[in-house]
Amino acid sequence: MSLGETATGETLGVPPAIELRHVWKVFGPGNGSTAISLSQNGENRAEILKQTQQTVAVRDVSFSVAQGETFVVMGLSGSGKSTLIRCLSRLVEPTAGEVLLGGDNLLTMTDEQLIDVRRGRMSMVFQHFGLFPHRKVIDNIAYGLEVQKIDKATRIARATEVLNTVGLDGWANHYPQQLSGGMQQRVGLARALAVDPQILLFDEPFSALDPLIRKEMQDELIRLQKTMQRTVVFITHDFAEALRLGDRIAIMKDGSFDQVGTPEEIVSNPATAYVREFVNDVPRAKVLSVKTVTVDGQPVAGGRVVTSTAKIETIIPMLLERDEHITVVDASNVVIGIVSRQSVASILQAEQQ
Amino acid sequence: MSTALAQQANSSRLLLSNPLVRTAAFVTIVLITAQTFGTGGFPESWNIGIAEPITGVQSWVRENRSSNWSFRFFFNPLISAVEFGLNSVESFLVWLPWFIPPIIVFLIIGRSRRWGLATFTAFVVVYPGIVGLWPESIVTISLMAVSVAISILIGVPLGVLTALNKRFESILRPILDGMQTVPATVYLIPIVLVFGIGPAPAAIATVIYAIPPMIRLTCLGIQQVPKSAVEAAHMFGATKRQFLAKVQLPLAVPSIIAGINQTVMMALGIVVIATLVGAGGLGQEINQTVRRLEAGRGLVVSLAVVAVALVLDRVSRSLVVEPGEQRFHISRKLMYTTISGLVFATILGRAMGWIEFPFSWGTSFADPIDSGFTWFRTTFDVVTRPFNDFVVRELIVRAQTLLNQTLAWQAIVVAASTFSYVVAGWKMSLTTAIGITFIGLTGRWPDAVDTLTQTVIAVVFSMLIAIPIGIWLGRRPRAESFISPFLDALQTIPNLVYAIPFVMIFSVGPVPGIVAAVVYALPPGIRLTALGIRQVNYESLEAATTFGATPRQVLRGVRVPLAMPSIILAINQMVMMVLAMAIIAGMVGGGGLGYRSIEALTKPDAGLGAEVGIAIVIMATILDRLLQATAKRLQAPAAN
Repeated sequence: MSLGETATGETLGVPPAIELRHVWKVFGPGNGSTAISLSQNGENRAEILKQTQQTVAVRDVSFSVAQGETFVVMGLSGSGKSTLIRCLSRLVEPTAGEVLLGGDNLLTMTDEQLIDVRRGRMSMVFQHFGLFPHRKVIDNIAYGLEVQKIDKATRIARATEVLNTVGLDGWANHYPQQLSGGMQQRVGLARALAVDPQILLFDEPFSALDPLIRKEMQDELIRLQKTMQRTVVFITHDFAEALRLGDRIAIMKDGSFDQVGTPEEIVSNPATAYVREFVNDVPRAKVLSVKTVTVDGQPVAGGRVVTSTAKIETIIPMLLERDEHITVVDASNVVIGIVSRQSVASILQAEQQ
Repeated sequence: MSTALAQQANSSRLLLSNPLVRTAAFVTIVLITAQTFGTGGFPESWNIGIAEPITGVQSWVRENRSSNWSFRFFFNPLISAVEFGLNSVESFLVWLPWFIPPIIVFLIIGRSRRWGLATFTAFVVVYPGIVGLWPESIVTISLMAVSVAISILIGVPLGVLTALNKRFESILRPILDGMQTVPATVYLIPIVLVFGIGPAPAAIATVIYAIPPMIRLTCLGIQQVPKSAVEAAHMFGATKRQFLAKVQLPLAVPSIIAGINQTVMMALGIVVIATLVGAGGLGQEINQTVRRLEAGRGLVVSLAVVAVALVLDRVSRSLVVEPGEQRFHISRKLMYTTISGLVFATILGRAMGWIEFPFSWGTSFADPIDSGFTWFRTTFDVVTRPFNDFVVRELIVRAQTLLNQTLAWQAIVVAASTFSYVVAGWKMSLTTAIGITFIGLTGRWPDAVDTLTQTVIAVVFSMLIAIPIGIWLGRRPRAESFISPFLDALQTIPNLVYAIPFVMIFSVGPVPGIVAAVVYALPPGIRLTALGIRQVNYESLEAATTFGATPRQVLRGVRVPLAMPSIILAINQMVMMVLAMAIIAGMVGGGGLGYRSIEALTKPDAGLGAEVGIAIVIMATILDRLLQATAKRLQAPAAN
């Protein structure tokens, strides 16, 4: 268990955009305190279910997400990830723990305050899109603005703008069910963006889509996120998707986090056997940076140079072209070592085992 | 595997699982109790007299109707209000030139560009006029309009409340369930007591009878809003009121319209029975044709009821816009033009005196139908008379003698509860025993035996016809889609109408009621059987075929066994339909509880009504539960 505080991106003095402290969610009859204490004593879920008829869906989860960071929670079905994202939007009331948004405690808010937070500060994209079948695309997108009683002209103008951002110009007057799955999820995304939220929550948004469309949507999200810089919490069951999108990734299993870290940290140093199983299938050269294969050595004078943050896959063609060490420099152009065919081969060899 | 192990663990169970042993044990138990208790029906002296207090309430109501505050300030004003509504609608429809309603219907349906349907429906509107039933139709339509309007006004808010409030739901749901098994004649009695007789009490009775689907479907519509849409609405900060107004209600609209649809159909369904409370209109006409045994005219009049049903159905359906449906855009200008056109046409019609339907062929084309039936009767007398005699003498009389005289009532109770035990366990067995005994205690034992006998006979006949047809149809989708509309149409015909031709063929007595019940029960029976056969898992069929099973083997070894739960459900539905027909059977000489309920309503005798109601509800509930349990038993191994 390494809940290492690596790269939290926390800036001094500024509270994280989202912070969860020891959040629990227990489903079933009663208040859940028995189930929590059983779980704390190390009982497994099946045993707790037998004794209390309660299911521990989220088990003592703590993490924080910095302003503008993309935090991905990856887990298989039943791991509690969907419940977790509902706890942090209070669609599901956590059994215990604290949820802080920019320092404000979400769980002690009144209904009115909660409605305010949802109207302005956070927004969500759903797995099965959650579109309203009785409203046209444009009215779906404008929904968040409509409940805020923003006048029609303004909200339609804003909705049209977002519609164009997600590449759906010309579809405004269709009904959702007339659109393909990928287009429907663009509408879902547009609806979330229309209210201009600081926090965007994604609940497995692309898992209902075909692989090609999924890739396209991921690219779209990466493109948008480059310009928007929102705080994103993204739920997925797809490890490759997590690696592509996440600044940091949490691997969730049986209601708690097995490991939290950057894609590179997780791939190069999986904390548990469970995490390793996912990592084994990952082509490391695509994830790991040159830094991880850098060794000490004498730079070749006048030779080729790469920055330490480049992915390994980018230097493989260079090494194949000419068997000569490549000099590695850091962000400020200081030489930190070299890479060779051997050092790269060793990491690729590890992948085979 | 696991069932085999369980059986080994319990050897007595193993013995009981053999159907032969089970039957033998069953028969032995019944014979022993029969020996012990001798013979005879339920002792009359055991009547616990639930009728008396109810009759007491009845006399109190009679005496205090004009003086008590609840009548002066609530019931009587309510009646006046409903009466006012009925009169207004009726006099408006009478005032309106006859050609306006078909035009309006044409315009409403034409909006969705279905011209054929629009033209057809407009002609259907005119049908009652052609056969000279225009005034009667207006009376019935006014009754429909007012009762459906009241049902919507009360039903939609109740449905919303039911969907949103768990506690309210837990109170209302059992009431709605109960209302569906109590025969309409029974709960018409308190209405007659409180409100008297006339069109307005008939409207209130219709509302009470027809409102459950309105409440249920509104509630369903709101509860069925997809969970993701619910979460999305909350996530964007909708308040409760915004959520209801902008998401829940709009998404529930198709379901609410379906509810209105159902309510209209239910309301039309008791149009005949409502005449017993003084409704008039088409129902009264049907009632008279049955009394005079005029099958042809009966058919003509009931087609008018079907016409009203069809028009109301089509119009209410075309009020829902399906997302993406191509419709005429109606600009304000077009709207005003259309309305002023209609107003002009109305004024013109009034001025020219084109008000009443201009011509009538009367019911003259009913005569050939009548003579056809007469011909049929005389020609096939060789068949119908022996059939009639066979059913009456060999089936009904024998069964009644067996149940009322040969067997002691204790034997019947023991037999029924033993059967319940085998099918559904000891709890159900206890319920059955208490329920049956209670029927005896209310003093309705002979009537219940009478009704039960006829019900069983009708159900057996329905099964023999519906299940083979259903099995045949289930494998022929094209034939089924061809037959479906006919089955639909059969279900909109008021159930009294079913009895008319058979009364003509078999003359008054229990047989026309039984045959009518069979015909009435066939559509759902055929439907559900065919559905079960059709929905059998495709892979199981392919597997069977791959292993070289002949089509016959596939049918017998795979399709039918897998469709069994659905077939049991079909039987269940048929039992309910047959029981619903019991009252009509009573009207055409079937006797039993049906006859008693009509007797109770026409007197009116609330005490008798309560006894009959309790007996029918107990019978329906026990039969329903037993069949459901059987279906579940058959389904269990498939689910593993």
